[in-house]
Order: sequence, then C-alpha cells, then structure tokens
Amino acid sequence: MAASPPDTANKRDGTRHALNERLVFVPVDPRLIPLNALLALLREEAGWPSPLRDQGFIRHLIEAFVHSQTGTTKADMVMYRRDPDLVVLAECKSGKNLQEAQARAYQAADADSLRRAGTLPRAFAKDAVVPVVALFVALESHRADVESCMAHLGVRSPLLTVGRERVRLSGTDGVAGLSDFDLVGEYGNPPARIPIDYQSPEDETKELVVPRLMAATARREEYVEVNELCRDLLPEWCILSHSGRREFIRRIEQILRGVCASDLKEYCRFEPQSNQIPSRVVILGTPAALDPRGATQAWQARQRRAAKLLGRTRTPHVEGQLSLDDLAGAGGLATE
Amino acid sequence: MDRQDLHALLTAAMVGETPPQTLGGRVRPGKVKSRLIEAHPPGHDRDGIADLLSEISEFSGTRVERLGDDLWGLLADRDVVFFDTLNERFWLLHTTATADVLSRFVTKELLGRPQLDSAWLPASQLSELEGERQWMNSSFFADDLVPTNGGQNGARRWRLQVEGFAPQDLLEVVRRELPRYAAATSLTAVGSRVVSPGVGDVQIVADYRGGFVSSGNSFDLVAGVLWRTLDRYETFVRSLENTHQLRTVAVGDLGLEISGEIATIYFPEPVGDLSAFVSGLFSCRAPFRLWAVPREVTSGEWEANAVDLHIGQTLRIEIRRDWMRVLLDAETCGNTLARLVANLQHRYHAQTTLSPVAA
Repeated sequence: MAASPPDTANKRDGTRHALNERLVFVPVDPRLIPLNALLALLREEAGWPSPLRDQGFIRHLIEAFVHSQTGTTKADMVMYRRDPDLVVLAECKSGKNLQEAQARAYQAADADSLRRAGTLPRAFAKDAVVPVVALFVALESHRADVESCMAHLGVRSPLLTVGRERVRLSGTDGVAGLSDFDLVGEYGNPPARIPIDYQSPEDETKELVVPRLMAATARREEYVEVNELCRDLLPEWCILSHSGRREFIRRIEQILRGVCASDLKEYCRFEPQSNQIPSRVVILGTPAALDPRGATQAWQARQRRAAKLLGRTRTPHVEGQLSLDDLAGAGGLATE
Repeated sequence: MDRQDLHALLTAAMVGETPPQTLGGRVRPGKVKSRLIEAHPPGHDRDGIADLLSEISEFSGTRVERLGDDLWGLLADRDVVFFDTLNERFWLLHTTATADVLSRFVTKELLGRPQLDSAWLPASQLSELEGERQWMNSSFFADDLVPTNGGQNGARRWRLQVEGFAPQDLLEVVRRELPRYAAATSLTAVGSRVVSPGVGDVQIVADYRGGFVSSGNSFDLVAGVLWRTLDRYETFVRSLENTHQLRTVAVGDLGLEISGEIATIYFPEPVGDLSAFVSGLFSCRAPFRLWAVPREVTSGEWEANAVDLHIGQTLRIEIRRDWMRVLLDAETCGNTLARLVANLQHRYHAQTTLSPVAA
C-alpha cells in the first residue's frame, strides 16, 4: 500500500502534536489515510460523504497487480462503474510527490493490462473496450505540492485529495463517468478499515499488538504464536511475499520483546523460535479465571500498564457524583 | 426424556402438579425461569456441547446428564437446569429454581466463560415478544457514561414500571411530550399474556438480557414463544455478522477483496462529556466489558482498539459526539454488537440506533 515512506513529521516523535495545549495523537498510520478515505468515499459511513458511491462506483480489489507496457505495478485500489463503463486505478499517496515511473505505469494501464493480470472486474469480462483511468489520491494538505508535481511530470489525471474538513476531486474533464466534486464538512478521520500495513511504524503496530495479547488472555489461551499474530494483524498477509512476511515477523518479534520487557512483563513472556517451537508469547495467567469483581480490577491494572507502554499521558478519567438515588436507598426509604 | 416430556414436566410445575420424585425432587412447583444464551462450544457440534457442559458441571460441582438428543440437565443438590441445545449456537435454559439461584449460576458458572454470553435484545427485538402486552419495565442508569449531570436536562437514573393496557404507549408519550426525558425511555422488560384456545393460557415476562419467566397452564405455549424469540434473535445476530464482520480475502495472488460494512451507532443527542463517556465505556466493567487504551486523536475524536472481555475478541471503536463507528474483526461475534447497542440504550440514550441494520 501507499509505498511512500512516512513523512518526517510523522516519525516516532513527530506523531504527537500540541493542539490547543492538549496532547493529541495522529490517528492510526497516517500513510493509510488516503486509502481509508477512498474506501469510505465508496460507502456511506458515519461522518464521511459517499460521492464516489453516489457516482456508481464499486470497490473491486485493493493491492491489485497491473501489467502495463511500462512494467508491472500494484494499484492501491481498482474500482469501477457501469453505464458509462469505467475502471479507475487509484494510487494513494501520503507524501507530497509522485514517483515518476509509477505514475507512468498507472497512466499506461488499459483494460488489457488488467485483463492480463486477471484484475479486470468480472463485470467487463465480455467487453472488448473498457475505459481505464488513473486516479491519484493524496492528502488535502498536500494538494498544491502534488498538483505541482503532476504538472512537472506532465501527468494529467484526476486528483482526489482528502482532509478532515474537505474532500476534493478535480481534473475529471473528458473522463466519462467520473465527475469533479468539492465537499466541505466536519469529516474528521476516515474509518480505519486498514489500520496498518507491513511498513507501518512500530508505535502504530504496537497499538494493535497489545489488544491482541489481551484478547488471547481473555480467551484463556496459554500462548500466542507470532506467525498467527502476524496473519491476524496484517490485512495483506496472504499476498505478501515470503521476504515481506519474514521482515514483518522480525518486526513483530522485536515489538513483542519490548512489550514483554515493559511493565506488562508480569503478564507475558516472549519465547524466541527454538528447534521445534515457533516464536511465541506465553500468557502468564488471566483475570478471566478470577471472581468477576477481582477480574475487573486485574483487567484495569493491565490497562494502566498498557497505557504507559503506549505512551498515553492523558487518559480519560472523570469523578462520579453522589447519587441521591443511592442516598435514599442507603436510608431505607420507601420505594413503593 | 424427549422435548415433549420436558414440556409436560414443566407444564406440571407451572400448574403445581410436579411428581415429587422427578429428577430427585429437583423440579419444584412454580414459575419456570428460562434464559436465552449464545454459545460457542468447541467444534460447534454435539461433541463440543457435551465437552463444554461437562466442563461447566465439573467446575460448578453439578452433575451433567444427557436427557435426550439435544437435551441436557445440570443437576445440583436441590435444583436442575435444563439445557435445550437443539440450536447449537443459541441455547434455551429452563429451571424451576429460584431466580436468585439461577442468577448466581448463570453469572458465575456460565457467563464467566468466553464461550458463553447472554442474548442482548435491543428494544426492537424485545418489543417483538408475542401476546397481549400487559406489563412493561423501563430502567435507565447513566452513571457509567454520564457520571455528572453537566447541566444536562432529563433523567440520569430512571425506573418506571407499568402494569395495565398497552404500557409501552407511556414511553411514546414521554418521548413526544417530554423530550428532555426521552433518553431514559429504554425498554428493559415486557410482559404479555398469550392465549391459545384449546392449548393454554400463559403469562410471559422477558427482559433485554435474554431472561424469561412464565406462569400459566401450558409450557408448550411458552416454548413456542421462546423458540420464535430465539429464531428472531438468531436472525438478528447473524445479519449483524453477515453485514458487519470486516474481511480481507486474497483473490488468488491478484489482490485483496474487502467485504463487510462498518457499523455505525448513532446517538440521538450529542455526547456532552466525551471523555467521561469513553472512560465509562472502556472501564472493563459489566455490562460493556470492553478493554482498551483509548486515545484522543484530536479534540472530540477518540479511537480504541478494544477487546470484548466476554469472549476475547477484538474490535475497533471510533467515537465522536454524534456517533460511534464499530469495526468488527472477521471473527468477532455479532452478539458483541448487540450487547453494545442494547446497553447503550440503557446507559446513554434509549433511542440509540444501529445503521444500516436497524436495532
């Protein structure tokens, strides 16, 4: 997915920004915001508009191969519509620039490119001619830079930019079936349907690893195998290359070593791969086996320690107020 | 014992004519209490059910007996709980034990297990209970999610119980005429009279946690109502799963196909104190039982990679003042979503709804 490296501003220390003097976090993996936004624009999901769905588009595949004359590339998304027929290959970028070779490959793609790769939507199986267009998706805050880059490279394709308060599609002149739009609203972040990919930063990956260890604890499992965990964490695991998988496993092992050496060490132990046994995390006891009241406190203790590990300095906490209902009950007052 | 024998035995209990030595005197005259339970036995088959019940029996100090093909009894010293597992995933439990005994047994021995959960009936499911409606309970308790009044109008706690003609109409009147109290008008329990000429005349009360109590002269009639309630609930939960479990599936080595829709829970009134709401929701306490380390991604927008502690499955929740997005994992049970909606209706706003599947 979005192959561009994380922007400098999004690296570990840069993921936190002061806003209104409060510590807030950039959501999920910022590199995946354009792809998640594109997915949202194809549906009607809370907080996000659905202009692409309204234009009749249907998502087909993500991470789909395209064999064009300029070589093979992987489209972040293939979507399509009928009447007028149109296939759109979307490239999602979180940075300010396009890679020239990649942009050319997208532009050179046609229906035959997809047919050869087997990624042409089935709806067009019998159609000899199907229009195909490349669509570049970027962050709204980078629109000017991406537009400049496209002009510099001579890339003439529609550009969709997505932001917390504005979603714009431009450059669709002459593309039958795809129309410009410019929407403004309080959209916030798109739903994180794809929360991480195999290149996501450690901090974001850890956000998902820790709950999975807790889920296994709640299921009273004795251990979690790293292979299984990786498969569970990564949407694209099944199409990831062997070397990609090995690299991801290595990164997850590194994260797990850190988790098991943190304040959570009382609850889990990392065991590296041995001759017979793949690498795994052994779960050291579970609150699920305790009396319900004790269990709640034990889960909350894990929550506090995980909060420290995940770098939360501001956690929601609100004092309750005395209930007059309780006061009346304590006094044994009549209720009938 | 087959199902007809069980129904006859429970009918006898309801009319006070229980043969004294039946199952060692463990079936006593009186009302029949029932529970609708969602189960994930290992293997999802009869052997798995047998294994799970044996385990429950071992830990609870009871004896398990297979009474018929899909009928089991867990025998304690003085009581018996019948397990009707004809539907391998949604079980019906029946007993003549006292409500306290049953409640302790269900809470301690059943719901503490990740394989078992209550049914959680949102208002739309509960209001489907058959018969002539004669009783209604509305209970609302916002302490967890709205711990301070914060200048908000309306009720933070609410208990309303009506016996009489069309009792639910009162909730409609409150919503229409006193909208400041609309948030509290949850539907917690309903009671109906069901009459079938030539078959019987029974009264059934059902609550939103899948609990039932019945009296009258025909358990056959009660069982019909319970089975139809179970069928509706199963359809509901499976439709939640079919619609909202999010999957990413490889299409050969060509790419990935994405399926499933994000569930959105809409709040009829914006959350006043989102921080308090989030704190209450992820407190690990019943009834939500959600573990997470939520983070405020920007002012007024929270996200949490959560764990449903009931069953040990993960889900992602994104919250703003007007709505909550729920992203179920591919294996996360639809009952988790049903529980969330039903409890939000009782702890945040009675008219909380789930879209696109109505709840």
